Amino acid sequence: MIPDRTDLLNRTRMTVRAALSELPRIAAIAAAALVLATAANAVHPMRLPLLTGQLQPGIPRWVAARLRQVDAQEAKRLVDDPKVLVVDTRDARDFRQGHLPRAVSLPYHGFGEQYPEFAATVPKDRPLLLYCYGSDCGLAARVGKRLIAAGYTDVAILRHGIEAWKAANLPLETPGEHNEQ
Amino acid sequence: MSSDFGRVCIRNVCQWLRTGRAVPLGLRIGIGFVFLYASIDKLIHPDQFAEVMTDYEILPKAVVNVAALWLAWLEVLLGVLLIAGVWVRSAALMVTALTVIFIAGISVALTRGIALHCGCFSTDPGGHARTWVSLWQEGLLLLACLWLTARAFRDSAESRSSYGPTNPR
Repeated sequence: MIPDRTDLLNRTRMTVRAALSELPRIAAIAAAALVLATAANAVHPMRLPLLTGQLQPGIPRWVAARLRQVDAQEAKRLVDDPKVLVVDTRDARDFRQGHLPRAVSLPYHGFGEQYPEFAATVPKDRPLLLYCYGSDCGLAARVGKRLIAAGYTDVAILRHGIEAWKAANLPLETPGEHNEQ
Repeated sequence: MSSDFGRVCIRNVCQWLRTGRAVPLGLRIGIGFVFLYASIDKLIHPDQFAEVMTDYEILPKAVVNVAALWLAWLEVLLGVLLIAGVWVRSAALMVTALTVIFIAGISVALTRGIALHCGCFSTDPGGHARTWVSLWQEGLLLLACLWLTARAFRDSAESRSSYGPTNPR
C-alpha cells in the first residue's frame, strides 16, 4: 500500500521530532568524549597541545623544543660537515630528481619500512639535518618526531625545506653522485 | 545447572531468530566493534592521527589536535554504547553522521587530488593511498548504520505506540 501525502508528512515530522529528542544525549556523548580525550591526552607520552598555535598539528611541545630549526646558510655549514647526516624526508620519486648534497632518503610515506635499516646503520648520537619540500611542508617535523622518539638526540630541520636551499642558490645533487653516509 | 543454562541460551537464540531480532542485534554489535577497533590505533598514536587529519586539509590546523583526540574517544564511546545496547538511537544517529562525514572527507580529498592514507583503522602513513573504488567499505558501513538507525527509531516508535500512555494495551 502506498502511503498518502499526509501520512508521509506526519511520519517525517515524527521522525524529525524523534531525532531532535536525541540531541541532549548526543551532546552528552560528545562532551564525555571531549573530557575523556583531554584526560587521556594529559597522561599520554606524546601529549599534544589542544590548540596548535605556532606548532604543527601532531607535534608535541617537547618534541618541537628539540627540533632545532636552521636557515639555509646554517644548513650549508651542516651539509659540509661529514659528521652530520643529511636526511631527505620527501617521497623517493622527488629525491631521485635532485636533493641536498650527501643526503639519504628516508621518506615520511615509507618510514615504517625504511626505518629499521636506517636505525641499524645510523648511531643515535649522530647529528641529523632533515628537510622536505617547502614552507607548508610538515614531513621533516613528522620524521624528526619519530627519530627523537626513537632516541636520536641531535635533530635539526631546514626551515622552508629545499625551497630555501634553492632560493639561496646552493647546489643540488642527483642520486649516485655521492653515496657515503 | 549448566544444562539448564545451555537450554535457556538456546531457547533465547531460537526466540531471537524467530522474532527477527538476531540480525539487528548482530549488526548493532558488529558496528560497535568496528568503531571500537577503529579507535585503537588512534588512541595509541593520537599524534599520528592528527597528522592524518592534517593531510585531509579540511579542518583549520589550529583545531586538528583537539579534533583528532576527540574523534578517537568518540569512536570508543559509540562502540561501547552500541555493544552494550545503551542509548542506541543516539549512538546509531552519531555513527551514521560520522560515516557520512568520513565519506565526505575522503571524497573532498580525492576530488582535490590529494593522495592520502585513510587513517580509518591505522595511522601508519605507509599504507595504500585511498581511491574512489576503496570507498565501497565506507559505503557498506553507511548502509549498515542507516539500517540500524531506522530500525532503532522504528522499534522505539512501536514500543511507544504499544505501551505508551496515549495507547495503553
